[in-house]
Amino acid sequence: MTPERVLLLRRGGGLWGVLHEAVRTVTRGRDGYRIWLRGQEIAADEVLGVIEGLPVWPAGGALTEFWGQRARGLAVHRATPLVVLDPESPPAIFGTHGTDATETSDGHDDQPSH
Amino acid sequence: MDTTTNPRTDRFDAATVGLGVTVGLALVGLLLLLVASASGGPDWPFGLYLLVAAVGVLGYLLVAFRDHRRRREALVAAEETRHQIEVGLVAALDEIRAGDLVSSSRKAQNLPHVLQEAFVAAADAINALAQQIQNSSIDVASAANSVNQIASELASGSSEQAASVVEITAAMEELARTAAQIADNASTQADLTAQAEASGTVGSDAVDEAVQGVEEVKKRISGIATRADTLGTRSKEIYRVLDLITDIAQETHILSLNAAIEAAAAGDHGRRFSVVAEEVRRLAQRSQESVDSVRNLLDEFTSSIRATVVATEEGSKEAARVLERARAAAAAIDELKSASSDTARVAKEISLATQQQNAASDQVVLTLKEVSQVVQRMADSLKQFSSTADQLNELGLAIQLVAQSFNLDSPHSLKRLAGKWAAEVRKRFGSWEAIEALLSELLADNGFVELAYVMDSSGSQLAITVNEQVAGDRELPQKIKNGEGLTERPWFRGVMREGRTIITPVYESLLSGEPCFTVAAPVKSEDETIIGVMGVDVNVDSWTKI
Amino acid sequence: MTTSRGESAEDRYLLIQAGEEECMLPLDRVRRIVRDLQVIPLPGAAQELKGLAEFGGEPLPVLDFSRLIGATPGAEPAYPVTVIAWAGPAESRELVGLQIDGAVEVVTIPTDAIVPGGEGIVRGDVSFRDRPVRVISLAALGGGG
Repeated sequence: MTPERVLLLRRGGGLWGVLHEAVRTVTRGRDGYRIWLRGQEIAADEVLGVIEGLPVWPAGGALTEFWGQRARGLAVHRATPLVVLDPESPPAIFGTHGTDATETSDGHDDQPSH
Repeated sequence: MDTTTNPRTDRFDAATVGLGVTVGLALVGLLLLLVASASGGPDWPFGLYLLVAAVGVLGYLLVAFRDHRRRREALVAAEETRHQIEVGLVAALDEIRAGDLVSSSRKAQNLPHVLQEAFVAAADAINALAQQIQNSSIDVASAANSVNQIASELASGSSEQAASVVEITAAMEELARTAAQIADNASTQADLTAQAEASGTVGSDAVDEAVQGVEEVKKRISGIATRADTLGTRSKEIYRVLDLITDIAQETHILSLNAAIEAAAAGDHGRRFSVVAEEVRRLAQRSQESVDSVRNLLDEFTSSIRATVVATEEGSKEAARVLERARAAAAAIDELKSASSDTARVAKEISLATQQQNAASDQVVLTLKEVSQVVQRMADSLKQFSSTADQLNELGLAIQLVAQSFNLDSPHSLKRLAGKWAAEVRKRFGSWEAIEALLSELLADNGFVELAYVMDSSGSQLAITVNEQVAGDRELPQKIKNGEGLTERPWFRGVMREGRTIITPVYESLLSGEPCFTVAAPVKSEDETIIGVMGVDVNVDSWTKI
Repeated sequence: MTTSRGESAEDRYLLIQAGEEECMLPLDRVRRIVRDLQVIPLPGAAQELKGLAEFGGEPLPVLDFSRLIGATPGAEPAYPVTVIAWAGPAESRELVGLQIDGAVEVVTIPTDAIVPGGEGIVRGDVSFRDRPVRVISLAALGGGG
């Protein structure tokens, strides 16, 4: 567990976090927010703010095996668990063209190197 | 002949004078003689007298002789005239005898003027009378025909009437029998409905008792259902408590497991705690088992309650249905009772009415029988009437034929027509084509003529023409076509014998099979010699209708 | 780790119900048994991953245990619970939640009674009260062991 400075945001009805150090710019547009990270831009429905010293646990093998997406880690904010994004490989739901936040997949994607 | 002189007058004049002179002289002489005698006078007056007397006598004789000769000549002439008149009169009267009033007037032209006038006047009177008779005979024949037709129609109608009356009588008799049957049935029905009424009262009372009983049962079932509902409510509360206990037992179970987990993690220090945890788990298990046991019992109890509730509901429904049916039965019985009363009353009325109808039907049947007899008598009378009408028809025809025996200057006179046609034939005599054309024209203009034919004075047939409308499909017998035996026909003989138009009595036509008569007229040359005979067969029915 | 009585923690298991089957989880890997754990679904997750939950301020993935082991689905569980356990190798174990149909009891079985066999997290089988029970190795969960 590592305390981190985390930017909290909402996307697809869920609570997410991204390491503040990875955030370059945050802009607000007609369809929500655009957050420019290291290397790419993601979309967010809402930006809640930056949490200082939020404990972030490692994502773990189970999450990696059964989610198929890369993650920086897991955290809890006000009793709500959340995934801290890998700024270099955010999930498809954060695409700037809009994806269904409730999408699910039956198989496992390739496990990212962690 | 001039008959203006009157020899009798002349004779009176000359003879009278002569006689007068003679007598006068005789008286004078006688007187002179007496005087002379008386006076004893000279004789010379006497001789003078004798001389004068002799002269007078001689003169008288001369005059008388002349008168006598003149009178004799006049007498001869008068005799001649009388003979001519007699011949003329006989000839004219002969024409009248033959019925030829046209020729009679012509024959009377040679009579003395006064006689001619008187004869023509008489002939005209007879002509007028004959025409009137002819015209009247046509009216009589037409009336007789109408009467005959009406009589036939009436006879036919009355026969139909009689038949209808017979049918109605039969129907009324049947009706009377049916009415009697209905009366019997109605009476029986009245008795039966009275019995039904009584049964209905008993049934109605029984249903009322049943309804009361069912209502009581329904109340009790309702009470049971209410208590079952209450039990059901209590059961739900117990279920809630059991759920709560179950929940607590589950929590306790989980708690015991967690305690065991913590005890295991504590190692040896947690061993005693793990025992406690295990006890707690068992307690929870027993609690759960107790709860399950109670739940099972409660399930059974609830099931029984539910079954009881269902049963009571079903019972209640069934009771309601029974109650409804009982009430419906009661209502039906009441209706039945009412209907039975009405039916009984109506049946009695029907019975009474049909009895009255029965009597009326009998009366009607009697009346109809009398009517039938009257109609039958009427039909018989009409048959007689029809027969009389037939006789009248025949009489009318006979009168017509009698009227036609006169040759009148009238368009209704067949002899007159035949005479004209014969005159036309005479103009064409020698050309059978012209005669046939004339005959065809005659038939076309006179639809009552069946057949027209012309033969010469020796009886050889020159032409014959048939009225196709009358003949129809029938063929003229061959012997008639060939003109065989015509000289034997009475009309041919009559014409040749008397030189006049003949009308035969009515006979059956060989062509049409219907009554007809023949009008045969002589065809005469200019010198009144019979050169042929023209005949037409007249269809009686067609002729009387014109 | 052993107790003073000579029992090894390895010998103690938590007997659980998963679908039509009974399994045993090593008790030393079990942290807690909880009811009504709120799980937040994760978009794009496999069917085995029900979502994320929080326990004691710590985030954990929650897995459908019956699907994990391919158990025949049973009737709807009366009292489902979630076992909070450590998964993965000992040196990098992580907390996971395992949704099960029911937690039965803590049992002790001799280690040599386990018949090795099975795939994935199934370590082997053991006959317990005359019925076969699968023995699970949580060390193999999450890509480890």
